[in-house]
Amino acid sequence: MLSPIKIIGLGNIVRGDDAIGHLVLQELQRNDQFPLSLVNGGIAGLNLLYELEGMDAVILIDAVSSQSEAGTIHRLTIPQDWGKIRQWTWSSSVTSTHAFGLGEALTLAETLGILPPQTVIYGIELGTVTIGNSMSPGVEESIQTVATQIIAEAGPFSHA
Amino acid sequence: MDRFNLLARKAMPGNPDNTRRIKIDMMARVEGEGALHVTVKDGQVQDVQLRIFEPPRFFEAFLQGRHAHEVPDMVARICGICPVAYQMSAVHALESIFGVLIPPGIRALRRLLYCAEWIESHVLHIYMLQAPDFLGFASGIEMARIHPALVKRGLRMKKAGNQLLTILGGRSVHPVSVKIGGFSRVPSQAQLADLKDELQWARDAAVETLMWVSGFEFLDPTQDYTFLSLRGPSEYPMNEGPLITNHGHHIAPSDFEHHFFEEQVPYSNALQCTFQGGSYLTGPMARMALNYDQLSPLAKEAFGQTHLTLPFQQASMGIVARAVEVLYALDESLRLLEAYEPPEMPAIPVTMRAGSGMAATEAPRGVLYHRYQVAEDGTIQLAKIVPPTSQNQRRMEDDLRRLLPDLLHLSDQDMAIKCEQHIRSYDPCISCATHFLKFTRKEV
Repeated sequence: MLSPIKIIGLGNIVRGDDAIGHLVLQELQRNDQFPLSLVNGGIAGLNLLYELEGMDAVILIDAVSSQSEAGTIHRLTIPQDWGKIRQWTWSSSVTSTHAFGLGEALTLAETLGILPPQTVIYGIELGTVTIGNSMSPGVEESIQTVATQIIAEAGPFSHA
Repeated sequence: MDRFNLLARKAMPGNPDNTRRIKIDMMARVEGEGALHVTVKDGQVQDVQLRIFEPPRFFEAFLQGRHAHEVPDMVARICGICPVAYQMSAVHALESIFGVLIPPGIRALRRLLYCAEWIESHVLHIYMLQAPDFLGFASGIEMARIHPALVKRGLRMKKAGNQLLTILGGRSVHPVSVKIGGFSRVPSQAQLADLKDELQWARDAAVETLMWVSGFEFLDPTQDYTFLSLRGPSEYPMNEGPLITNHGHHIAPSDFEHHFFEEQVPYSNALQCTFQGGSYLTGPMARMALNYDQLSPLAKEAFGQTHLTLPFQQASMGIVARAVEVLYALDESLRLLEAYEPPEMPAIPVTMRAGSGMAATEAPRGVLYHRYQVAEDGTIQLAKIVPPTSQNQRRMEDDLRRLLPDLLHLSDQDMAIKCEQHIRSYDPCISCATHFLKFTRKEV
């Protein structure tokens, strides 16, 4: 039997669009169709390993910067999209804002054999990352869209 | 392929006019982002500039106009690695304004919370950031491919700190339970007792970790450090005490700004802090040099078995000091856990009043100073934050000036790697050290 799917939002709520993962979680909290396992992963990437360990399926939500228009939604899966994941979410590259990035955490999880067999990443293209609460136009709409998609994707797990 | 490490190690070729410029544009495995520019002319090191280019952090300005009660949760966002340190310096500074005296039970819980952060932060640095340098791996991930059991041990130790932080702080990232006057809620005895077995396992693992890292080769040149740390009344320093140095100084945290001066250097938007016109070192090596007598018997005994001597005079030995402090923090956590009785009230009542207050606490990376000025209704009028990395930055440059002459025979790429490793041995958290500063840029 599958363990329930876990949904992990990443990002810094006080850094503009970097709050994307957190805001998708807020949207998901309003869902009343079935219970969801929601986790605020913050910005400390290595701790993510503890959330991944022992899971069969996870959905991660993070802001990404890949030169697309702000608000663009990327749905990435492993192993098909390893290239993009490492390129866009490797912390020490210019494109991520985390101390130990999602890319590193997932790669380390794979190396140690604890990466969930089904790992999906929703990346939303960010615009501004200045300190504060303001968001870029286009991003807010995408947050709603991603939340709806995640509910559709998580549904079958909740009935498993 | 590790894309980042390629970027990090990109070095500029030598110049025909005998001027050689080594440029590290991004440093691998340093929290935040930094850059180092070195200029060599006629075989002599002419200039060393450690540069910061993480977007300036607005926190000091961001806090202005907020209510004092919002500060602990807000400053926890400055750093994903050491949020507790920011919370601790903030509440102690604010409590000094409001005349709050913290009862022993709350004081002990704050110490336990700080132990959790030391464990998490130091284990991360030892296992994922610095050990790969000693063992010749490009990253912690590369090390995990060859030594998965070692990395798993580190991750499990870190998790013990994580669990402690989650119980005390409400969650593992950006803890939310700390408030002026105490905590919003405190754990039950049973909740903490559940952690005992895992903390005992981690304490044994910490002894093994210390033996492992003390066997590494420390090859960097010795330095004549001025050490700075807090000195606790009877315990290894975390939340209180005057600032002391190895040259006999004894400075109240409220006098910090009369002795330590922050200055802007043109090539960096982090401020550099100096003491008596020069560099100094804060952090685990300084704490251990100045407070060895306050370590627990177990930590002293294990350190004795390494046959290393204090004070450490090489930056690379920071890994040993961190390992000793992980062992101490686990030992201290177990002591606090045994003695724990939930305080009568999670927090004592606080009445706002106008004034200014300062505090310094020992973040994993060293002394973290905060000063606040508050209006009568509790509105923050001014916030000043001096993180440990900005204090150590001048010291890092001084180290590199000494290290570089021995590296001139190396290729630019190898020289860059050596410099990068040296800077990393300080465990700099460059994103925290970056201050917002108004500046004008002149285009020529």
